[in-house]
Amino acid sequence: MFKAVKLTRVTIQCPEEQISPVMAVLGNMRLLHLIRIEETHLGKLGYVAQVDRKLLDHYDSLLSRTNRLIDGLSPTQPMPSITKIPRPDREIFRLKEVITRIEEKALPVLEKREKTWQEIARDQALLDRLKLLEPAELDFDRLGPLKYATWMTGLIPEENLDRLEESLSDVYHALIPVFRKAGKVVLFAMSLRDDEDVLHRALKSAFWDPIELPGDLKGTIYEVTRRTSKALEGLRIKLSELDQQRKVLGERYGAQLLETREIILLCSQLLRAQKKFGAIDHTYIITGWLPFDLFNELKKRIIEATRGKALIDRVDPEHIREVRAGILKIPILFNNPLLIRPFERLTTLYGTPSYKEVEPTVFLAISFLVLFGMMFGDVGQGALLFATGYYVFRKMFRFMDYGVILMECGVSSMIFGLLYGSVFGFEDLIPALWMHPMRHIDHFMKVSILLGISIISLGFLLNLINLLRQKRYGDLFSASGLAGALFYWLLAGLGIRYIFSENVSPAEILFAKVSAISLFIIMLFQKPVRRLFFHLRKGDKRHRLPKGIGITLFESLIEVLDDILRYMANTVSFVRVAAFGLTHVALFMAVFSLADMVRTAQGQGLSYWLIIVAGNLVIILLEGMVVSIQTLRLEYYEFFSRFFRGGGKPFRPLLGEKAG
Amino acid sequence: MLLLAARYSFANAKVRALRARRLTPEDFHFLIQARDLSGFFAYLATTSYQDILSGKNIGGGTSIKSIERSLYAPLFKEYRKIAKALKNPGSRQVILALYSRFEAENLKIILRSIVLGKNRSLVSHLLYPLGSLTRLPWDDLWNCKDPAGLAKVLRGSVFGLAIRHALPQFEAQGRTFPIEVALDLAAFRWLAEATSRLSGKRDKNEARNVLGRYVDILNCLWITRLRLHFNMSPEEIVNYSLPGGMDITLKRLHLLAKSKTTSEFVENIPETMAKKLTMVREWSDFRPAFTSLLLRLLRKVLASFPFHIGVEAGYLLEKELEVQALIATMESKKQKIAPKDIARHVPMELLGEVAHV
Repeated sequence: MFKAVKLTRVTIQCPEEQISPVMAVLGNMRLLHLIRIEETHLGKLGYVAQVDRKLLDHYDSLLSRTNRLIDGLSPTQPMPSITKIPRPDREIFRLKEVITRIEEKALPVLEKREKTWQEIARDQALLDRLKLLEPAELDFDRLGPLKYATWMTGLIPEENLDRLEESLSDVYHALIPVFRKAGKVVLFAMSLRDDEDVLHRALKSAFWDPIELPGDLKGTIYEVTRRTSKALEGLRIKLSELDQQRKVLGERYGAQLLETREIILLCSQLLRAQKKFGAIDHTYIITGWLPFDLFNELKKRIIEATRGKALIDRVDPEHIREVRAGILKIPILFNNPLLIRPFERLTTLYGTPSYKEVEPTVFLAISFLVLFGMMFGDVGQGALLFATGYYVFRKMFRFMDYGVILMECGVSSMIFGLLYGSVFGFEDLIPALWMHPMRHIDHFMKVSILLGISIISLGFLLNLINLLRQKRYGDLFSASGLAGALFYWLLAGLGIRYIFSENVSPAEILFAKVSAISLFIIMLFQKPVRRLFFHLRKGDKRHRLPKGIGITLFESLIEVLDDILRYMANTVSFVRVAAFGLTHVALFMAVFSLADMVRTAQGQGLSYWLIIVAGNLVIILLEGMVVSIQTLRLEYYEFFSRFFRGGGKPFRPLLGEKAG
Repeated sequence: MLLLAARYSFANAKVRALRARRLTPEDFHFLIQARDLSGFFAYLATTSYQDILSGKNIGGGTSIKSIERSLYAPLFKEYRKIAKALKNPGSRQVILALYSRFEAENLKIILRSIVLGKNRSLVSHLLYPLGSLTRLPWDDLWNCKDPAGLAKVLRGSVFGLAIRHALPQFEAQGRTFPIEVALDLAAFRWLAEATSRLSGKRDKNEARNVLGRYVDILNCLWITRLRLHFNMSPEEIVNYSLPGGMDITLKRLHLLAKSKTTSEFVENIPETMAKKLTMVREWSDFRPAFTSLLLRLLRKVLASFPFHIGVEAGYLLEKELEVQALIATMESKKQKIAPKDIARHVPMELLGEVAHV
């Protein structure tokens, strides 16, 4: 929980013909972070495996066939979850058969439906055009056989009609406006067949938008409209029958299709992962990071799957030269309990911890909830936050983590609400188990400062652990190391003593002075002294002192003063916890004052309660947002900055993201 | 009249002040007589166009085409100043409508670049530097993938509907010409509507006197251009003619479009204009002749009763003709044409009589 899962580097060697079962095992185990062979010395020598392009093409084509069926049948079944990954090279045969069988049943229905759709669209478009021309009462039996005249139907912008009329003034013509629609005129244009070109040119230059009609129309426009409407009705009935058949097919084959698609996607992803493998002649080499505890299980499964034809080996990170040299980074696999896990998002928002760092999510989660609750303590509002979080958790899959965080914040808010005795701002419904913030402002401030000192001290402790784990012993004497921590605790202890007893003895002051000066000297000189040692170890005889030692000393002084000032500022910064807690109460007071004014004027009716409800909602939205931001700010700037360097690499398990 | 004076006195004073900065016949003389293009720019830098040349690497990285376009920058600044000086919304609409002709030109460039798949950076030097008066969403327009997208982005402006109406012919003909004409027509239709909506009979009449005659002249020039360069039939020319003319009716326009010879063309032009065109023998000579005609009209308007929108519109048209003459001179210099030949293509009204040279 406090550190990332222990990983080991696994290397698998297997003959070419065994790569498929090995991939299936890796796919099933899932928790392997592949190392791109190109990044290793083997890859740099060119021993990189090729993706089985032929097999992948088969999968791609199968995927497009499956997607076509899924789009056509629109299955409503839930997404299946694939627990066992098959061998891609064998599975393709079964998948092909499944899809071909479903295609035989479904494609005729889908194709018929598509064709019917097209016919409906065509007839509907014709009907729309005929509707535009209906007022012209055209008779196609009389217009069709015209030998010496030509006619056209279409629309032109209304303002062009006069110019069109003038442009045709030299030829026999008729322009009959049928009706006007959205700045355009539906026009029936006619001229002698000899002047057809003139008519065409004139219409074209008047921005003619032709209404195309099929050449084989018979009867009057009303008859054609009636016939088309009837045909359309028939087509719609046919479509609904086909829809019914489609639904039945969807119910029968939907689950199978969805499962098939998932398997295809997983197999394709496995095949694509091959480019991360190495290959020497006919032997494949797979290397990656695996949780240490899973190694034996993986080894057993691979030996079983390949009938002992694969070699599997592991090396712990501390024995890898590239890791020691810092060239190769070990990925971080978080290992937090269910309720803490959503806070990993907030940790990674700041940075990914490195393998040798303390994994801070659990500390972040606890301190976040305490700070949030202190600033937003109210039983009623906490319950509302919890309910909102639950809704997000259940209904919005993508934001599930934030739903959990919201629920936990709600619980924290409710607990502090009980401690403050506040329910939707009413402070007389339940007794305060601890205090009413507005009545104990001084106490609240002191508690906030104490909380700040605790969180910063925790930051110091975590930093000391990090320094020891990373073997940066020299930094223990720095202002951010043990010396700095002792200095801070000394001053904090003195401050606490003064705040609570208001009586500090001269002996205590003398002890503090001596200790503080000693620690200050250690912090000030640690850097120049370390530089001097380094210089002496190098054995440069020409200069007694390294160049720029004065500047180093000056830098060191500035750094130490800066660090000490920051510790003080960071501690004072926690006063905001009390400040925002009080703001929360003050906002309630404002809402109640407003409600009381309404009550005085109109009595305790609907308006009074409306103001209470609206006020509560505004406080939840406004104050909730502000408090979240402030909490996060305290976590990142006051707490994380003490010990968290980040720069780690997240663990990306094989098949973590779907292909295609 | 008092009302008109109150409405236009500030704008009129502004126009007078701006007009004092126009190029004099002497300026045109020295520009034409410049030994070469660098001499031309050296002189131009001493005129009111000096701001445009500062920072430009003439003869180096900056192309002549982009300098051509930047010569329009002062014109658009003056459009903005005059539009700001006009407090009456109706009068301001006339100026904005006149300005919209250039917006239409830039839209045409975007349209062509979209259809031809050209990158913005390749054609941006061809754009008019419209300045801050334009309200069209240019960045959104550049992101459009097709003319239908342009129509969608321009929905709500005069150009949106025009493009939408021209789309069927764009698809049928497979070229941008119908949309380009539709953009021009939309700008001029707006101008005609803005003119007709002006309040006050005198204001309206004076505006029609300037802008209606300007449209008449443009229509005559369009007829010659569409006939000579596009080989269009009379019926097409009539449909592509600009709305808002004054003396040239549709019937007369049709007659002009059908004219076979220059003399027949001149015969069909209204008498008031024809008197000044009797000397024209070649189709190509109509352009300078009509430009002179327009300049004379504008000079007359600017010298008479001052309180009407015709003064502001007239001044802006005069400035536009000055820029066009300047560009023609620059192009001639680039092609090393002799000064006396250049002078033939610059309207006499701009050259005047430079006595001391």
